[in-house]
Amino acid sequence: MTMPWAQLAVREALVLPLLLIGVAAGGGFRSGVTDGAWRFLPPTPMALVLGVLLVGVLVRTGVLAPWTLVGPHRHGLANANGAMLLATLLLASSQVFTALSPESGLLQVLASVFFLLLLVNTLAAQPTRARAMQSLGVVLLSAFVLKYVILDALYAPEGSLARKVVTTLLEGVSLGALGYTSHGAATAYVAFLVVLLYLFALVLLPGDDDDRVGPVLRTGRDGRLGEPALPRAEPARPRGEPSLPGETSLPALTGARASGAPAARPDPADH
Amino acid sequence: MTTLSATTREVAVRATGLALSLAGCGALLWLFVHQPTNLDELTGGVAASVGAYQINQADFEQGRQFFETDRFVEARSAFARADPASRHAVTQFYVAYSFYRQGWGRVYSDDTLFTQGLEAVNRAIALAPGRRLTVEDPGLDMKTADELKVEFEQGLTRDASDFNPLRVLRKRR
Repeated sequence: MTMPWAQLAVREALVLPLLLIGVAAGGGFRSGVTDGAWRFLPPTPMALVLGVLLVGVLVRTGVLAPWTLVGPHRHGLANANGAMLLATLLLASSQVFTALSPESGLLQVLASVFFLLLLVNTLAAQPTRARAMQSLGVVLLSAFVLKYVILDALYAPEGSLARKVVTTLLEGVSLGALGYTSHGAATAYVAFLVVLLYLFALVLLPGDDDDRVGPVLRTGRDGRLGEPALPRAEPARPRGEPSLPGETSLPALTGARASGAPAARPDPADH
Repeated sequence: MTTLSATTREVAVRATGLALSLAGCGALLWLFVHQPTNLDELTGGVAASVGAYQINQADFEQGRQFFETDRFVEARSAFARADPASRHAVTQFYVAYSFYRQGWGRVYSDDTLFTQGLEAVNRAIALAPGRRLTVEDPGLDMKTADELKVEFEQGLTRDASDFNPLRVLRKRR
């Protein structure tokens, strides 16, 4: 089904960038556990690296088709919209990792290595768009549960004695290197919303429509590996409707046969 | 005619989207730089950035009255009501001055109060046009934020002059 240009332009120029900027702002949000004071953390260098890797995964798995957003076939304003969308996607991807990683200590290093390995693994596996989305959803929500449900509960200042014993043991085993600080309740809610909005934005991204096989297999089927694939055929457009502004419309087909023209014989292969 | 209006609409949508996205990126940068700690600071900061922020003058005057009678905690409470977003340079100067007068001691100064005062005076300097702030108040011995800042920094510094017995003769400014 072809989407009207107006919806595509609104989605690409308005909806997605603003959604992703919201994700970027919310990803850095933290509220203090005692006084509720807000903080807005910018992305760390490691979060930026993970963000770039994640965008790479999105491209390789067909979730995002960047050549539909930026290229010589588009005019300047559309290219600017596409570039802005890509920039905000990179920022939002980085901030999702900022939201889901601890802010300091050994746990931050462990979380970064965990995300790095998962992304590299996904890059190597070359899953389809749907499977990549499912995998990403599981990874992000698991990280959310680990940080905001388990760790925040363990390190809560009003925790029970058993909880304090476990925390002390963990800190003792790690020689005090864990250095985790719990957050105010608002942080978890905002982070949950950020993860959901980010996944929703990924669904809205212009991607590769063919979802049956991964991009490498697609390249091999359409052309040959190592050679550029043939351009895909444009989706069928109803005759009589102009494809682009300024293009002359094709004459509409009618059911009436031209006078004197023989009727086409039905092809047995059609049955 | 229809084609032309479709093109115009597309350009309008794309231009609006680009402008809003740039504004959103600017707002994001503002959040990271200014770090508002609550909703009051967020809204006050936005209002101040467009020149629409105003303090509550009645609360400010009440804060000054408390300040002049050495009721510094009450004064800071009134100043906080007057300037909830901490975006008014003169109010922040008075907040800093209240920390100075409360924390000043003939023998030693209160480091906690002086640290808070230093933060407030730095905020006042950052908010003042050209980073120069002068308050013409006859009740104040230090009329500029720079003098106040130096007092805080000297109070927080540990050196040999701290052991000078003549320190007990100095006066609170």
